Amino acid sequence: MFFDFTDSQKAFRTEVRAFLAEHFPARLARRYQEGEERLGDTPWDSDIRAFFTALNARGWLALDLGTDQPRLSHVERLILFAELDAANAPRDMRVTAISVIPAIVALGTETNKAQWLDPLLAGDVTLSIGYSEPSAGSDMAAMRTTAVREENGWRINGQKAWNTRGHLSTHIWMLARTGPPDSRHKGLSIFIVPLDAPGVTIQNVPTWGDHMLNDVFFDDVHVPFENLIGPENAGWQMAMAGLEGERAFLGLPQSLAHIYEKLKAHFGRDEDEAPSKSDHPEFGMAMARFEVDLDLASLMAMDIASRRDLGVPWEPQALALKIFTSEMRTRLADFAMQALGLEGLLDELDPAAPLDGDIELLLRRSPLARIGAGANEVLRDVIAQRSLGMPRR
Amino acid sequence: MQTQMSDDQLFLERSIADYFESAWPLASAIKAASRAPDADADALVGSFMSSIAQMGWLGLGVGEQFGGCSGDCIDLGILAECAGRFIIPSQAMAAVAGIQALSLLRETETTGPDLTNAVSGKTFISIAGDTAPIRLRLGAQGHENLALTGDTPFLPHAHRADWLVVDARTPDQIQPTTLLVRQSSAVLTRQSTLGGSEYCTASWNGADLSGQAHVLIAGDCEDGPARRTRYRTLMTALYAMELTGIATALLDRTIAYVNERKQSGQAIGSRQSVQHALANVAIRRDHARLAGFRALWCLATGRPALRAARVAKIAAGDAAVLASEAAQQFWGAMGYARESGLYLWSQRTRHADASHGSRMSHLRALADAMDLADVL
Repeated sequence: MFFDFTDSQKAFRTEVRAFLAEHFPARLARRYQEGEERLGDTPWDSDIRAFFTALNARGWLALDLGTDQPRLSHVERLILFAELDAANAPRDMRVTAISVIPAIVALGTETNKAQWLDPLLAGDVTLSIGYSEPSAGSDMAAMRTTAVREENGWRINGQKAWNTRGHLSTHIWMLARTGPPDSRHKGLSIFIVPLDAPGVTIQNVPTWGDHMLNDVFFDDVHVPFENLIGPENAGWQMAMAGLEGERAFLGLPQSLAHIYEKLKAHFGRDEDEAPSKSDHPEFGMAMARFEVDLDLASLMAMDIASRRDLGVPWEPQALALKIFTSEMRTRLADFAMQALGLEGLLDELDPAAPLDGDIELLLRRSPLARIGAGANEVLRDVIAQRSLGMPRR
Repeated sequence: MQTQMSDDQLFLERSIADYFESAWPLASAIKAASRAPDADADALVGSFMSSIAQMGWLGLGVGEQFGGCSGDCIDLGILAECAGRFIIPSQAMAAVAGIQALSLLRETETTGPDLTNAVSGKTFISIAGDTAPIRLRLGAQGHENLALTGDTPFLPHAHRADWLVVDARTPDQIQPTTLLVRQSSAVLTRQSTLGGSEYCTASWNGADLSGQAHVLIAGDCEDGPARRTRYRTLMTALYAMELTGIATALLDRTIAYVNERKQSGQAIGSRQSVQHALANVAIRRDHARLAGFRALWCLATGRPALRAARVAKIAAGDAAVLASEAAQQFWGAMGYARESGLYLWSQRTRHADASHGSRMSHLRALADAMDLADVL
């Protein structure tokens, strides 16, 4: 056992921090507070492209591609993502980097790799993800969008729901049914489809947290054969391989810890102010509880990375961390709103907003963390049935 | 960063778990915890204590020159976790606590009884796991002519002990003095508590204890606070590991029960409400186990460990209490019946949760360190 970063891991962390200091413009930090585009404006500008280009040049974007340098260990990957999150660096390409690209590398054809990897890494092709459908959310195998083979390509019909970033991306990475209607997960394939192709319609679905979601409709959309990724009917394996990479980092607590530290600083005692802990011990106790829970979340994230490096099972721990951190977001938002009173309602547009309006935003965005990337109820089912050996109904 | 146990640690865990499972089956634990314990129950506990002393586990954390195993703090944590899992007699971890107190608190190896006798089980040292205000006054200064007035409660199994470790205050010193006192010098009163009467209050009336007491840490001793903190931190982390073991036992037994038990033709474990509650227990237990091992690793490698131990104790208390409540709920009346033995883990949860600082007291300590302003 060794519950600290090694010297070389600490040196790597220093390297990442130096990189961020050099390549991450401060103006972007506010915009990427809590992860994604803040007020619905278009984030894919030259600064962000330059940031990802620099990240890619260091070999820190697509971590599973062959490079001259040795691949990063999982603990180093954790350090990288934790530092990026702590700095509120852009995550626009994270899913592409840790989910899509590894899936193409592992299961894509040589043609797929030659056609898509370079444009993806260069940011010329930007992806959104199309898995969920109106009647196929947690039960992805029930999806109905079809891709039918024709003489010169594939014809796609159907609808994707709860899509993120489709209105900002050039393409969608999507699952469609290529097998018979009752083929469940055995009859699905992955396609990359241009979002400006004839027959694609994007309908925005504004959300409480100002994340712009979309319904994406496909009406006789034609794509060439090479837009099929991997073997026909191997879509399920590719999607699962991609989700595996994504799950390992779903519950990272750094962005929440950032807000907690701001809250602590907001309520910190001035030098000339008398301590109040005896006056309102319940406030301090509740703050200490968050301090403990954030510490436990960081420890779990390290455990997941360590397990991956050692090749021992880590998936139940990753699901547990996602559940734990996402529910802590809601608890912290509620607690801070209570502690701040009416001031907690002020949003970032109001100059008097405490914590730059973070609490107002955290409250509105907290449901997404609980329901996105697998609703917590579904993940608890998975832990109980696959990890604890409890029966399915 | 490497969070997994080594092959040696896994071997130790397997050895202790296998032994406890065979030498202390649940039937023994139920018999020993009977409301009217008899000589047979006492003999069961005595025989178990002798056997683990022979295995060297009481002295797991002390050097081979004392008959111990030269294990480190992580090894002790493995032992404590197994103690919770197999609900072994509380006397065993009380003995380990006494041995660690003698080993860590005294300045020289020659002060007090021979550690070898404690490791072999011939001498039993009782030390309180309570962090309550000190009620014992030390009337005279110096290493001779010691006089104690007042009492110390919650000394575990003190009625069987040869020596007691107690803290006492003098009027002129800020730090307490830690003393090793012959049990025979005290008047003992058994305390009636949840789950029986394993604790005693020891009282002294001011009589001279010359020849019957040794100073382990004098009130003005420079490194006394550091030695005391190291011991308290170790015990906090060990109790956290015991709570983790309790949570694991309750979780494993409850999963087995709900998977087997049927209502309306279906296993009750197939219900989502049951699955989610037990998934929550598993998540909390995993947190606690990691936090416990981290605290022990910090101790083992000489790093600051108090904060990590507090976090571990809070997390482990949460896990064990949640596990206990879930187990009692899902076992229904079967778990309420003493014959299931489930209540033994629930009771042990409360003892361990309250020993060496409750969750609330550790949270308060963390809160005090934050220096927050008046806000409400």
